Amino acid sequence: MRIVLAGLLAAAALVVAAPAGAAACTTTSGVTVVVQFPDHTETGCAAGNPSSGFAALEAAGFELTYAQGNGAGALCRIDGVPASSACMSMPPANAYWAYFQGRPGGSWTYATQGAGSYDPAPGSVEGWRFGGGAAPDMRPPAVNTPTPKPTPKTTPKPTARPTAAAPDVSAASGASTPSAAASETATATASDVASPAAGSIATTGASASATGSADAMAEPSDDITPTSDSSSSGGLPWGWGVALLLAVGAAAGVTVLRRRQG
Amino acid sequence: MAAPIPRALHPLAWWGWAVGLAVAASMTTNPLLLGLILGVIWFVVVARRTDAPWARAFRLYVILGLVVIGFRVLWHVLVGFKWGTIVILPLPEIALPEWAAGINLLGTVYLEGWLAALLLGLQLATLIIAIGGANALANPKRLLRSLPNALNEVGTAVVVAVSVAPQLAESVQRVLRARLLRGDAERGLRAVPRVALPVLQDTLDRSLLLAAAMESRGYGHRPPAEPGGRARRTSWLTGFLTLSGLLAVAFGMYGVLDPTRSRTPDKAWLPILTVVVGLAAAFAGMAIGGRQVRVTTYRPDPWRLPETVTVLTGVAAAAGMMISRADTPLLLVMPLQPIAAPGLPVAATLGILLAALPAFVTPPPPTGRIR
Repeated sequence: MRIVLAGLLAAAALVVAAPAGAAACTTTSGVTVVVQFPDHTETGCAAGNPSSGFAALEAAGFELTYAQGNGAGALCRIDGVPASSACMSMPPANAYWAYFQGRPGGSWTYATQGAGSYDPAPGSVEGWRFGGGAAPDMRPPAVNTPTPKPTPKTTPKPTARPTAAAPDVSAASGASTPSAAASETATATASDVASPAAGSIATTGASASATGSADAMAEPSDDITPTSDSSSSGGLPWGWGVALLLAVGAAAGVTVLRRRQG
Repeated sequence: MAAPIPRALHPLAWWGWAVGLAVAASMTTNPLLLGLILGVIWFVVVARRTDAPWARAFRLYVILGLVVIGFRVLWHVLVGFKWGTIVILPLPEIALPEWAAGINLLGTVYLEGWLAALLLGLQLATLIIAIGGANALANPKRLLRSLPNALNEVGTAVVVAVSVAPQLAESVQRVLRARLLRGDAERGLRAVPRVALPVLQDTLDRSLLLAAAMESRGYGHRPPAEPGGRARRTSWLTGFLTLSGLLAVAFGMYGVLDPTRSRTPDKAWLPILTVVVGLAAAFAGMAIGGRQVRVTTYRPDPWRLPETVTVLTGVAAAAGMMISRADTPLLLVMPLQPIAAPGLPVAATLGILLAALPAFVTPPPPTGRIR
């Protein structure tokens, strides 16, 4: 079990690492994400149909840190930028991650919805730029002409799956194609993949990497928890707080009773 | 320590204590810390409040706090930005035209966004209840005597304003009791005319009593106009200095707090200079205005060790929170992404617990009737 898990985690790391360097999506099925950092621009592809702007960012391989306090719900950092912000409140209006939507090959429009609630359509482009709300310098990239390499259909059609899964047996394209199908299945239901997979040998590989990618979806959140845990160390556990609350409340209650009698 | 003689603590001491707790509350959304602050305020209030009308108004501030929390959560569900992953209330979203995008009318409520709204409401409620604690513990009429002389006209109006609502409530109770004693037990709308008139008369009588007492001590008194018009010129100067000073402070503070100030570092001194000049002008105005007002004091409030300790515990609560914010900032917020149990920062907790000390070290409040 431990070995299997380790293998899955390794596969997950591979899956996560792969799209980060990747460019725009090669089909109209994924969501291309353009992130302009203060010193450079990165482009990634969130395969499939991410449920929100944040999900697209994460699926494209970027690491997100959310703001706390009165900024709860807002994005604070992408890949640790800006490092100077403590992320304890709403980012200021002149130094925040501005969120844009774009048509491939078209222009940017400033988002009218938050990235937590906006659901980007497959084939669209999402842009992020750090600063005072300016659009990314790079135009929304057009969809690259599909390479001869067979690409998997993202919508889990039972008829399409065998053709998509068949080339996966070859080792070369095996690394990238399941990841495309995989991170998509995490947002869709897992059973969709599992039931057709039961049939042939070729699809077992795909279902294995699908479970791996399920871990991959869990992996970034696992990465986030230790950081918040490490910084929250040095505090007393919450049980102390509850005990103190009860003590103060009891003291007040006793005082009320005593004054009422006296 | 022998039992101290009952006396009222200096009102400014209670205000310093409460403002310290309010400052601490404004820095955190950690429910444990906010709960501790609320518990400490409640404990000290029930231990040291009098039977005066304003002391009984503490309940109103608690109700106001609950209303604030309720409204914050209600607005979150109605128009708030709903974010998160854990669905607690699946509601249909009402579609709005493009120009109103960004406002989510109804829509699915998530646990994370709902908790964030609830905790921000709790934070505001804690601020309100802290100020309510100061109002319950400090005698507003005695606070007036601690104001600078130049402000005594404003202070008079404030005292009348803050004491009118609780006194009105007390008048209603007294009139109702008097009617019951006479066998007039009618309630509801038909009783209103028979209650309203005595209540208004009672309130008016008391206001006149208060006004007469204040006038005999010099409040609201103006020096007679001199032939040369010197008094008039002075009062004009007082008003000009105070008003322009306060305006300069307001604009200067806006400049100081403006986050885009860092874009023009060569002009960073300008807002600070405005604040300093404004404060100087305001204080000069108060000093000039205060010279022509003479107010006598009956039974002055002493400032002794318990007063100092009370203010220091309030400062300790704020300071503990600042230490924790510099040291372990993530402990001051409720972890929402992902949701986890909040931790308890040591310095902030110790500071808040210190603020419960006035319940023990201050002299007990005087018993009996205070009006």
